[in-house]
Amino acid sequence: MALESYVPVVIFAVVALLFPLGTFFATRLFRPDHPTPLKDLTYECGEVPEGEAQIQFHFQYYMFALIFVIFDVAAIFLLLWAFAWGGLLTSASPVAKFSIFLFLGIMFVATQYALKKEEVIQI
Amino acid sequence: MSAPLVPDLFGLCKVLTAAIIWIVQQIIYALAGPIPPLAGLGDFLGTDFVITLVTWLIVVTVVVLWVTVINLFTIMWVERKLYSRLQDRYGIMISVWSLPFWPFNRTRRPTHRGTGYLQNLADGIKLIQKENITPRNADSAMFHISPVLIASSTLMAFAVLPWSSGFYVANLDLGILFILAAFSLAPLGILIAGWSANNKYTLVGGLRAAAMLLSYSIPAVLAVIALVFFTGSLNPIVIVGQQDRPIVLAGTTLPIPAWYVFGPQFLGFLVFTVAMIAEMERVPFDIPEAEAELVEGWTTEYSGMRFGIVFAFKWLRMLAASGLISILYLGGWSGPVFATVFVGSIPIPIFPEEFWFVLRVYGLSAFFVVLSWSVPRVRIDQILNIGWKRLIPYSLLAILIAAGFRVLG
Amino acid sequence: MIGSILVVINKRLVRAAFWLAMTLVTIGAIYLLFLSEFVFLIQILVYAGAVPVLFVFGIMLTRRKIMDEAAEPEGGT
Repeated sequence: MALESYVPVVIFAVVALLFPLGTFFATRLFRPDHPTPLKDLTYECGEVPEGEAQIQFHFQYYMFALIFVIFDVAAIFLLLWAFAWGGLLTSASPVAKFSIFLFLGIMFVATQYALKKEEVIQI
Repeated sequence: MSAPLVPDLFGLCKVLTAAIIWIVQQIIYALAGPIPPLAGLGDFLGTDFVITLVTWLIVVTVVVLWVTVINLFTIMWVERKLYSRLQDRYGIMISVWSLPFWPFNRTRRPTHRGTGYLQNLADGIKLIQKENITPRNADSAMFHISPVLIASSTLMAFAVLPWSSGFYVANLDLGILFILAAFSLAPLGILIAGWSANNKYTLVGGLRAAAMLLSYSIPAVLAVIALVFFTGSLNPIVIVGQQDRPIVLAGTTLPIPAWYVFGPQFLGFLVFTVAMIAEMERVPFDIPEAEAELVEGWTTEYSGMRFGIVFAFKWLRMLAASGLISILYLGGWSGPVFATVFVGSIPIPIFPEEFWFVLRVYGLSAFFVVLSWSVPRVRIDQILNIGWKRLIPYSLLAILIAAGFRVLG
Repeated sequence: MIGSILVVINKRLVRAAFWLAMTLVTIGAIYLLFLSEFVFLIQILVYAGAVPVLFVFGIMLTRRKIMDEAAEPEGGT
């Protein structure tokens, strides 16, 4: 089947991986490397940084990520449906034709309901 | 009548490979006199396997260099020159006339009046010489790996993005989906880059970037689904081939090409374009980097060439997105004029398919540049609301419209 | 393989999530060897692209030093 057509993709993947890696290692030859404690500080507009950033952090994008995963899977269903739509039109059963619209409607309403919670975003 | 400049990249490179291998073989056979085992090596180089492998390597290298060297520098030059003109100034000026040796350093030609094409090269050389600072509190391994993930995944999009009907690396049946999948790996890299630097700016920037890229990849996928109703295929070459004809409306042939943007796909085109602007993190959707509040967003702690890579790959995303839009909606490499001249018996097109495709890509990129330097930044909650409460309903509507048109015929 | 081992042994959860993504990409490559390219692309699009991001978001909602604190009970944050 199409496995042969993926051979260049695999080679491309290897080259694409080596390209940034090679660039990073090549720059070692050219750049100075004199770390000082002041240089290695976390950048905070010249202030001495306070505390850490990797803390427990209530941030509000979690809901978006959750819905995103659901939508991503749903989008795949829709993609298959789009491929099959021409065949579905000729089939007689209205259930096969229109059940996807029910699915779409439920998903849409549920998404909007879930996002009600995230009306205000602070960060 | 269309004609690509490169009718078959693999075939073209195969000639080159054969020549290289032939030369190497001659050298090895000459050496095989004193060292007999080398003759076997020379025979091995002549086998089909080696020739194919080397040819693919050359093809991939050609495409990578074409993308990262030629197109990346050109797009950066276009952007910097264009926004300088928008701000009523000349912009970058370092060009060949600024080089400090002979044919260029003529006194009559001032160095600050060049076109500026070499400025990006000079910046790159400067970045290579810069020290690479890793913050002490950073998670060093992840800090160094995530740019590789971002860069490689973005570059992978070009593995299947064809530049004409002959100039491509791989011709996959699911090419468009492959490009979208390559785009979808970047949010994780950005999120981890932001987290690992252990800096508040990068953390917030990374979170915003990840949330935004996630939100906007959904409308893009949905718009592509709406397009699938008409194309029935995800192969970019097939999709472009379908658009290479005039519109026939009620029996009369109109002088308009049948691009998918003209017709029921217009809504999908708008949604896809907005989603792609967000995917490349440009103003109006550049809240992840928002200089005024987050210094440089998730790239704040990167220095030296690492910064150069993650910064330059935004332009690569822009190139890939422009190419994707023009393939899907704007007719790809189909063009009005394909003049050819014959050198001997070999036809050489004056306006090849590559010309029309690159013209579209740069036109779209220039449009994005003008847009991004003339509109204000959108707030993060507004971004997410636009994504989830506007674009997704619109893209679902586009799907319904497309399905309805298929019902009508 | 290596990626999946790294997922399990890594103490820092975000690193583990990163290696999980890499593992999922390689699993996608195995699907490709089974000649199912659609599943391969879906694997990358959904599993490698979306799920680890969800995990990382979830990890950030929890306490970061959850492993370290088990060793020293009076630890801050």
